[in-house]
Amino acid sequence: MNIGTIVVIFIIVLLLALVVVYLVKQKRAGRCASCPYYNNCGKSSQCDDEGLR
Amino acid sequence: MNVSLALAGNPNSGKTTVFNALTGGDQYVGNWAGVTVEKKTGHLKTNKSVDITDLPGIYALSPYSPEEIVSHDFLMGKGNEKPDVILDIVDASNIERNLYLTTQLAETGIPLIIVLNMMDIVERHGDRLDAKKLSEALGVPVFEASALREQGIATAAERAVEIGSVKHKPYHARINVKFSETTQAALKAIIDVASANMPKTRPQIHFAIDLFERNGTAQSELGLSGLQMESIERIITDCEKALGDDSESIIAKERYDFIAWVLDTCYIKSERENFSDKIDRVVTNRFLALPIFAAVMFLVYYISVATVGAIGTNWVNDVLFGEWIPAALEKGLTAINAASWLHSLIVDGIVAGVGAVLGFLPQMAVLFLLLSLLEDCGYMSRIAFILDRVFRKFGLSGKSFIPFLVSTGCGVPGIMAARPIEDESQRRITIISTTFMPCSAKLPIIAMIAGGLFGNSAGVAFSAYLAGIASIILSGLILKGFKKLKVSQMPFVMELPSYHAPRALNIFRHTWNQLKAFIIKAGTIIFAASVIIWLLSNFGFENGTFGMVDSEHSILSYIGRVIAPIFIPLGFGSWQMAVATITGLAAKENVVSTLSVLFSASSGMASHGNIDTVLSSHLSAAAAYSFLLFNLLCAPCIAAISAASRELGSKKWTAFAIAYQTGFAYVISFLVYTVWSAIS
Repeated sequence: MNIGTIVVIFIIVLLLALVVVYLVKQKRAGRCASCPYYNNCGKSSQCDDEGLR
Repeated sequence: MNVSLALAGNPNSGKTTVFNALTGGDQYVGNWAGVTVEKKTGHLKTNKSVDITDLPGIYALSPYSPEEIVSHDFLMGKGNEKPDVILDIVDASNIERNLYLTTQLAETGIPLIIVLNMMDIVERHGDRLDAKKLSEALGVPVFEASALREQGIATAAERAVEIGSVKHKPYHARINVKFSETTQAALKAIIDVASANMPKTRPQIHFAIDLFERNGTAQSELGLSGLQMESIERIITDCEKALGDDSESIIAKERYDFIAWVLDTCYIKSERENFSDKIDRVVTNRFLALPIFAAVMFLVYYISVATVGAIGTNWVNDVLFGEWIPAALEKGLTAINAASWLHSLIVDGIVAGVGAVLGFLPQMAVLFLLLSLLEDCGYMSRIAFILDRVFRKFGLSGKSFIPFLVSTGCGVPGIMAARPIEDESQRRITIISTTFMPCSAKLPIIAMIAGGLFGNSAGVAFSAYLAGIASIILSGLILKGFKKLKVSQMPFVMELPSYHAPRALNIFRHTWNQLKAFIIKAGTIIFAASVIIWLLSNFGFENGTFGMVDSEHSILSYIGRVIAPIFIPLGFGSWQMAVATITGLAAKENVVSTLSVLFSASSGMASHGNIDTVLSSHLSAAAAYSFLLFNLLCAPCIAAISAASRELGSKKWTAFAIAYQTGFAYVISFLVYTVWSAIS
């Protein structure tokens, strides 16, 4: 496996890890990861309390 | 010292616009009643020690519907939260009704400041309202404002902070509703009976009125004995006999008498018919309303899907994701000598998957811009009024239209917007059927089918919207037949806001919020899903060994082939279509990205064009439309299912909702496919 392949694989794995971290953070913040309203959904008081806005 | 301000007022009086102006936030603002169903908290942007809470709009301080309970409990200091000052946002163009709540808020004993919002509309109507005289008549500070133009709000907030900063506040409420002598005597007698039980946190008159109105919450809160309750009941009955009305009506009537007296001193209403009334005579006309609504929505889909939006989408699909990005990536990957399977993963997997979804961004942008325009100018709230007549016959009410409208953005807030519906069965039916509306995530599926098989037909896209409404109506009819969903018809009262010129900032904010979320989703969930789908569709067992295989022998094809027979009666029984439908449960955009990844490698999409054109060689028109209908109507994504579960409050109802939606989608798609195939 050449260095170019290793670098590209590393970047993809890193991006996937970032996606997982992002989704976990969203979940912990009480937001629905796939809701386009995010803090506009009417349940944002929770996000405000946690200083996430 | 921390100061807590509460924004209270009638629905659609502009509280959230005031909240956004004061906090610098971007909470969703809609030009109809019932947008806010939960309280939201932020900080004053010029002073972080000031908390501002935006409460759901209420017409009266009674604790009945869910949003009333949220506002009532917060103002009553339940749950250890109580505001220092109430900013009462009054819609000056509907001042008489708005002041009803004001008189009740004053009785809570919490310092009150009135913000006369929408003064620009009052002026436009030719009415005259003297804020100074109103302040003198009511005895509380009154500020003129226009929340849309952010005028007068900061001054009112500064005054509220000043009042809220005073440590030991005397009861600030000086609005003394002048009840009739008989009522006053009754209230005084009630205070005499129950004063020992009344906490010092609120004025006694507040408890007395609550008891007089036979408010059960007050009775239990004060812990009155049976003897005390008997005496109070006697006082109320005597007063009712004397005035010839029931106690609640007595209080309401006398409050309105007081308001009329106050307004006599400061308000002159113009006799001429205003601009909104003139428009409403046409758009809410008994015969013209529905055809106008259908024409408007067709135009919206025609512009967004078939013409303006399609130009952008074609460019993004054909040029940006079709040529430029794949070519640049291919060049880069070749330059660094990356393995050939990586070329496929990146170009056929990630770019095809994410690109297929992002390609529809221009159509979505135009669609949401147009829907926001209709919403912001006040037309959409008329639709609730128009459709009430239709919905009523099918077990729903005009109130259900608001969740349906919100669901065109996303099903999650749409489901939550069902809260103000008082009738439990109507609320359940609305929650179960609201995700039939095509949300933003379903738009790529609609555009893909309309683009690939029907030449970007606005009719197909518009029919998806109509199919959503028709399914809701049909479901109302079916579901109200269930014993546990017996509907009791409640009168539908909805305030129609005045038409106003849409505010560019509001529209762009609303549209951007939708698009931003869509882009984030494409970069996260769709990106990850595309990688997983590519891996599963390129790896598998062949001749007893595991490795890279042709997609027809991949792990995903085996999974797909197990599920696919279920969809044969619907016309799309291939394993690719089955897998795409299942991945749509995570997020509906996945349907498009999955198909794009699967066909990208196997059909050589690069040489055939985009996913929509590849599909045309894979499906008949009847099968494609059946596929579209099934994905529009079946169980929504996981986020919407969990929201429905929260709102339905029971696993049994959630399971019923999923089973009903999927069963309904299956039957409708089957019928459409069978009839369409037979005809053609």
